[in-house]
Amino acid sequence: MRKIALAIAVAMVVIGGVAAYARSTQGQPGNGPSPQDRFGVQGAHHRVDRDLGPVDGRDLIVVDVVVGTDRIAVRYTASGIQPVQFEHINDNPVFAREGPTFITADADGKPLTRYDGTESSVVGSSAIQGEIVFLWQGGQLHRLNISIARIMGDGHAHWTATFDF
Amino acid sequence: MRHPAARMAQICRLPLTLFLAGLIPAATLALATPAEAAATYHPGAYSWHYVYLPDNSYQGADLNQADYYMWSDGTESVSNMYAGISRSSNNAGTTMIWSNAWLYNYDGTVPLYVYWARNDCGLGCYWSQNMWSGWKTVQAQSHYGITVHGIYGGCCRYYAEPTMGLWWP
Repeated sequence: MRKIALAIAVAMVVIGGVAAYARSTQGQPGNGPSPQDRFGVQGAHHRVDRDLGPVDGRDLIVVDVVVGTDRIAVRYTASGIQPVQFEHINDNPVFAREGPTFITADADGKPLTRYDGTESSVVGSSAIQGEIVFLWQGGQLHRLNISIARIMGDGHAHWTATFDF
Repeated sequence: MRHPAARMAQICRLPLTLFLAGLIPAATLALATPAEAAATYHPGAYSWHYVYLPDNSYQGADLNQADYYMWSDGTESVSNMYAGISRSSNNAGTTMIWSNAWLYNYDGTVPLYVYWARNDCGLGCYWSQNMWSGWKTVQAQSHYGITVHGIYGGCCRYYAEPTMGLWWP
């Protein structure tokens, strides 16, 4: 009687433990690349939330600016954008040369070099969210000027803005 | 001398405790049935990723597109993932090989590996490819996507190879 009860108990403990362990390991970090290493800019986070105002039915809000040790990330959302189709980007020689989105910036009077850019949306939608990343030599950022010439090939989407930190 | 029944109870107490301790998690896991989950469908979510060179020149754009269901049980199911490349016209003399695409979670896990390689398609060209048309269910809000490594001959990226990722709206 004692041996049987002990065997059953041990079996149940083992089964329960294995099942619990199997569940706990789901979703744990594996050997894949860390997207934060690729995309994330770590540093001083400035929540901006500045609406740059409607232009020809387009609107853009600079959501935040992150000043890292070697990069500056500017994140934004836009509405009313009429994107060029991806397969037709190169039909326009200006887009082919400069890209469908053209954003430049200078920090404390010095022009910044673009490092990376990402824009996301849903097919058929005019709302987009984006991020442009510039190289940065580090240090305190006092003033950031941003000039947006177009978003996703939409030349009506153009703004300039100055941010003081 | 103790009563035989009391002795039996004492003998059985430890294994009975172990039995109950094991029974609770086992029964919980065995009896737990997943609740039926509601879903919202997000067809055609896409991202464009722009690649620039250290001289500030535009190199090209990557496309990443997918359909996905967001389930109320904390998972997402993804399908119809497309990848595309739009080459810039100002990168003459550059050779690119795009390869090694996989899906990944932002926590670093790799729910699906899909190997894919394609050689340079030439200046100013565009192409896209269906990377994955089945369904794969992963954690919700996991920000999985496709990463593409580009190998440049004669020039290089300043920090890292170009990548593209799908950022869920």
